[in-house]
Amino acid sequence: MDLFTTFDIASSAMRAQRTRLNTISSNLANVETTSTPEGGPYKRKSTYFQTIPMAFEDRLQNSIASKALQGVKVKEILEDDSEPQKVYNPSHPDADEFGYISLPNISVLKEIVDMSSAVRSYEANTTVIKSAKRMALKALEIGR
Amino acid sequence: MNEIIGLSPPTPSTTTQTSPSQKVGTSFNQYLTEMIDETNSKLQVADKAAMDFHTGKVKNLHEVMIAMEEANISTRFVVQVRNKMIEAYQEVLRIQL
Amino acid sequence: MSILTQLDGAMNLLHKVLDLRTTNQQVIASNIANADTPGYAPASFQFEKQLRNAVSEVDIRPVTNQPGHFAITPDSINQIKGEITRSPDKTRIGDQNGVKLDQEMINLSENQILYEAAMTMLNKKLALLKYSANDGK
Repeated sequence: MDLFTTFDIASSAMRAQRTRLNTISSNLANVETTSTPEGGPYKRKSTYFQTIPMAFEDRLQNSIASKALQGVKVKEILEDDSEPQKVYNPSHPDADEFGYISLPNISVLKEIVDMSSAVRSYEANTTVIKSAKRMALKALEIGR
Repeated sequence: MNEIIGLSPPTPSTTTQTSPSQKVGTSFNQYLTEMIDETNSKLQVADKAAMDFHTGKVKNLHEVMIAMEEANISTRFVVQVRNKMIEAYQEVLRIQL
Repeated sequence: MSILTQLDGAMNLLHKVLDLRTTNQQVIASNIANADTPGYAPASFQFEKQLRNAVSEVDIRPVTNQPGHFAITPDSINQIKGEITRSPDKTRIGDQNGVKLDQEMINLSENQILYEAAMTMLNKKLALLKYSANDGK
């Protein structure tokens, strides 16, 4: 009856991981962006996840478990306000009076590790959907 | 003939003593009753195995499935024997004297 | 409550097991979905012990001579609700997320197999009933 809640939970997670992947790819694309429309170098972005309650109808049926059913959403996209890297490059158009440019505080290695973690979570959630689908299809075979 | 028509549980005298020559020709009544008892116990064993499996007492799925299938086959066999018996009985009724 | 589940304790149990395993699947899905949420403590849905207690009220011994009947009341099984235990992260490193993804994936597979096992057994029993009701034709 309630495998559809499983679909909702897993798809909320997939949506959240996709957003996370988008922020990571934005970070990687802007590794060397020294100027943004808001002024200053590009600031590294990251996602902040938060749980959302998922079970609505079956609060009446099994209230013990229904509080435990939680999906996930991106609460906000945080901007990293730490100090940008300063690199000496006086010929750059954005160089300040001392000849330094400010590069974004993005470590490519860290972003790639984060990306593989996001992909792994995404794949785990597709497995959840596959298993829920298979269970529901099995239920259709009762009495056949 | 009487034994087929009057399907009552066998009296103790017929079940306890079976000499070798009698074993070959045990009454059909007796055989049928034993088969039914055996099927019943197989069904109970299968039910218990299924319950033990799902309450976590034992974890061997294949044994449960085999027990259930055995009970299944046993029951189907008994039902078929019963059908054939009824057919035979009706056939006999049709004999014109 | 159908008459079938009233008469057959095993079928009642199988029905309840299916319900509980469905709920467990959802709980595991929540854990997997929140594998990256900071501060999240994974939930674990336990019910096997409660089932065992409800079933073992009468000891059943299969004996060839006695057609004993099951004294498991439908109510004692229907009232099983299971319980949720949360295990928060104790390592104090990182974002305090307690989900072990590999363990959750194993739990997912195991739960699915047990669900399908209960489903298959229920199907077998129903098929046998249908067969008997049809006089084997």
